[in-house]
Amino acid sequence: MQPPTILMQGITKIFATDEMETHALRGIDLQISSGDFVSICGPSGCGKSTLLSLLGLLDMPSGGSYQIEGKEVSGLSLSEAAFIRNEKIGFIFQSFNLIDELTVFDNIALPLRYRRQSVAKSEIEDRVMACLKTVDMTHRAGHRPNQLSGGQQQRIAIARALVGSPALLLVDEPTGNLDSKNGDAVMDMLCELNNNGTTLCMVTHDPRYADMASRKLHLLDGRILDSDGTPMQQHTTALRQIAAQ
Amino acid sequence: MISRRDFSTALYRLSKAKGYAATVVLTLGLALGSLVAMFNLNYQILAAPLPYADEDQLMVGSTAWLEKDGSVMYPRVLPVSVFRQLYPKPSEHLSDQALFSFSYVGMTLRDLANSPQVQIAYTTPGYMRMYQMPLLHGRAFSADEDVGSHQAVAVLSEKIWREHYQADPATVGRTVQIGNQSFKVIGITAATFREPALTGPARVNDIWLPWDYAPGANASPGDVSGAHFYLAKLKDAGALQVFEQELRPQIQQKFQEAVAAIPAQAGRTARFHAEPLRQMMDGDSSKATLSMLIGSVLLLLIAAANITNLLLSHAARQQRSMSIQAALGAQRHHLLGSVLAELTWLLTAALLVAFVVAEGAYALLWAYAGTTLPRLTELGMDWPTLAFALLVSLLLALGFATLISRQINYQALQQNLQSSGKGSGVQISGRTRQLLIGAQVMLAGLLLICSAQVLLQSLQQLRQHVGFTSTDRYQITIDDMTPVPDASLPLEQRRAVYRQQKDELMQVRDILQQHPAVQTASVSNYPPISFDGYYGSASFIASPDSPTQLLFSRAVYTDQFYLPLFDIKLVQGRNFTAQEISSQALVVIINQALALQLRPDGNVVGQQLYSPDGSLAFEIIGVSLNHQLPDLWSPHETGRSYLTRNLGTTANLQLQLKPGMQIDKTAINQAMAQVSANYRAANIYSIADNIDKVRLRNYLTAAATTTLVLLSFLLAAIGIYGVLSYSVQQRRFELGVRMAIGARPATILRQLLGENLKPVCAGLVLAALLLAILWLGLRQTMFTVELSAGGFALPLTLIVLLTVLTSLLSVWGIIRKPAIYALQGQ
Repeated sequence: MQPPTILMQGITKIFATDEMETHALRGIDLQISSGDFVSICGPSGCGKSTLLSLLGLLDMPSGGSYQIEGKEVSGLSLSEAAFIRNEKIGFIFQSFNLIDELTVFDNIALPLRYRRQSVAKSEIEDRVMACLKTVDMTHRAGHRPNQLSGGQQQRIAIARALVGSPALLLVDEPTGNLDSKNGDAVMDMLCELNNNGTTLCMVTHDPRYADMASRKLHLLDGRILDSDGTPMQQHTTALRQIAAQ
Repeated sequence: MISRRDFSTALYRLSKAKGYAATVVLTLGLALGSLVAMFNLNYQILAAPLPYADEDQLMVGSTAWLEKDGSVMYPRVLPVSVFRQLYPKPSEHLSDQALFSFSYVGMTLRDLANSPQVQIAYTTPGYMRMYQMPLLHGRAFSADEDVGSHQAVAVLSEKIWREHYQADPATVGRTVQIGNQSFKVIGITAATFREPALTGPARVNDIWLPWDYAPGANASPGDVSGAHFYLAKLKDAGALQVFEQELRPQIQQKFQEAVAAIPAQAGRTARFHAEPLRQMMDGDSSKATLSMLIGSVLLLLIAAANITNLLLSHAARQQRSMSIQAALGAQRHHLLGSVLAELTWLLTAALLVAFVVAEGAYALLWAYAGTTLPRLTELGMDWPTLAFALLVSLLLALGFATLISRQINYQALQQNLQSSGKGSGVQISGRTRQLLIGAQVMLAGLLLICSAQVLLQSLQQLRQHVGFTSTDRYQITIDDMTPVPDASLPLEQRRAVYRQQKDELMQVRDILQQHPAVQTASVSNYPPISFDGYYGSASFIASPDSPTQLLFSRAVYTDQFYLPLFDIKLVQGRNFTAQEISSQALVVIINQALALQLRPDGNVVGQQLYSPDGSLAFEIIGVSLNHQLPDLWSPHETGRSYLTRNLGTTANLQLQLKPGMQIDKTAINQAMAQVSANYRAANIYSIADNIDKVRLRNYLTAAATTTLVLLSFLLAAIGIYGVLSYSVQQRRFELGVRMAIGARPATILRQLLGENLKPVCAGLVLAALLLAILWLGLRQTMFTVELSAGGFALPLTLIVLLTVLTSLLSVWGIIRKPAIYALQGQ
């Protein structure tokens, strides 16, 4: 049996200062299978971004277990985490986070250039151009990010996230900095990617876009709620069974 | 423009950024302090008035002793007999004149129980008038005590009077015994008297005697002396050339007449030079002090580049408070006012630190350069230095303020709050940062390479074996009370007196060799290097057929124990035998340098050397290894000769003690008393210390350049770290993004290193270009430059290491944490 793409069990995250401890996540159990499109929503401060950071190995949990494609990743070193991120995860940020000094082409090529095994120049070129074609931005390959509109920048960010063929795309408020027209276009693109088999996990405030996902999770005070507002016990039980196997 | 509130707010802000404030104040204080000290030093040497009225009319006369082909044998000597003739009829251009001489070796005050050694100057009444010698008691020399009067009178320095005569006013009028002669004290100088340092800054005279008593005052015609000067005051400062032209032919003619009858001297001339007093006193010291000034200017430029980086980074960190002020209606000048207030505090504190640093630098200069640089005692805070320090601080403040004000984007600041505080109105462009790093590296590279070249050269000279052993070796100077044989006595009788002296001292040597502390002992006129740097000399001719080809050597009149005592190796031939010493055989040992002057292959054993008049023939029995100890008189190894002859007026004992043993004057005096009551040990000098004295300039250079290397490296480190750290802070988010998409810590570090090395390399290339220009420029001057590969490799390695380390340090806080911290700007 194929292990789930993402398997989190009892994940906690505590931010401690000299004076107090903040429990950002209080025992998160989560499974995302290949081809899923999961949306995470909730009010400000509920822990959405923290959860996304842990999912993307940008930060490490304070407790619990986290597996990606069956491999435990909760205790990895910074360097090992960077490898996993590079090969298995693609990020799409709210503010695009393209690097101004690099051209569109180079921005997209960046994840391939960080690969553990160096990728041939021709392969980089092929894959970058393929991704640019996917987001319909081939004609902008030589431009700089500041020469593009917000919508175009986000499409480039999507192409960058896709170029490494990640197992999971993590999407943080992808429409937050876009007008509704561009926002809709980006969401259409994400849906199309999911339809083509890409696994997606998206954090959003917008209920319209959250509803586009195949599964919708609500987060409150560091816990995942069921659709009726109670913690998802049944899901937890199912997850434990998978883990036991 | 700046209100009191600005100052108090700025002070509070600085108190919250103590590390930043301390770095700025210390960096600037250190560099500014060095510059202030070097300015003061150069001001004293080049521009500060001398403490004598009409200083521009004061001059010092001497002559260059020229070989027949016009080459200079000695640049500053005096044919004493010629000036003795000219003295009674001074030039019309002069308003005053004096003859001046000094004792090479210290004399003893024999009327005092402890027989203290004193330094003697011999002069005429004009000296005291020209230099306005102030007197605490008594009077100066009068016309009755002028040349030829032979009046035995003395003027004591205030220091000697206080130390040895208990500051008793009744000292004036009493008699003191100096050497074998009694003198009546007629005056005590005031402590404020600053005598012109005609014989170097280290020499301080204790007693002034009439010129008639100077050694060599009655020298034969044709004799020249390096211990005599002709001092004069011109009626008109502009008449120096005219005066020189007037005296030059007279002196030349009289000298040539005097030497015409001496075969070895015939055809030689003496060319008179009149030097302004300041030029004579300062010599070529400005060459060294100007280099130090240039070094300190470069240091300040590096520090200024550092401070600029730090100030810009600090201003960038204040963007939030600036944004709020802009949103509340603050104009550009309000924001600038607050920056200026902060700068005022920082520069004031830096200036105070600079004054402390400058005082420290003066103390170091007094301690280590007191014998090599003139007028150091006059260093200290004065109005020109204070004005210079304030001016430099003001210029720095204006420069910093202008730079910061150019970086404040007022419009962007106003928009900051409107865009939720994202972005910055005080961002320094990547281009500015690269320029700052490049400029910093260029200056640091320039300074480091120059300093390293000088440092390695000095260290090489210090490491070099001097050619003889100095450990446990001592020079014992002898206070010889044997009456000096009258010059009117026949030569044979005079020689017999000195022969007896040498025989007696050899008996003392033999007694001392039985002393349990003594390994071996020797008698000689000088050790390989004496405490006062003086040496004996002897001239030879290679053949009686060519009496004009005179060979100079530093001569040691000694015994068979001298060469083994100092481990002076013989590369050919043999040492003296006891028989040769006792019979004063006509044999000589010379060094390689002199041997090469005789024959190109240096194989001279068995060859003859002749006295200049051709009457004595010395057989060369050995050739000794050259010494490697350049000194004031000769930058390269000169000819040396070792002879069996009499010691003359300068007699020394050389002792090698057993390891860990010591000997005092009492033990030596006891040995001497067994032979004669005429001898007493005057002083014991360590030969190793004598060497250190000669090498002081090398030590000083090494210490100064090491300090400069360390300071410039430290400043470059602070500055480059400041820029890189700021640059990384500005790029924190971008680096977070790179980490988010899979860049490993090592990848980030490698990338930053690659980026940082570009401006560093550009700076180094610029430094190399400037150095090449500097080198080409220096080739046109009197500066001699010897380049070493190590002097380039060391600074370049240091700068590359520095870049690697600072790159690592600046990014360490980011790459050792999970990527989310960088993305969140933590």
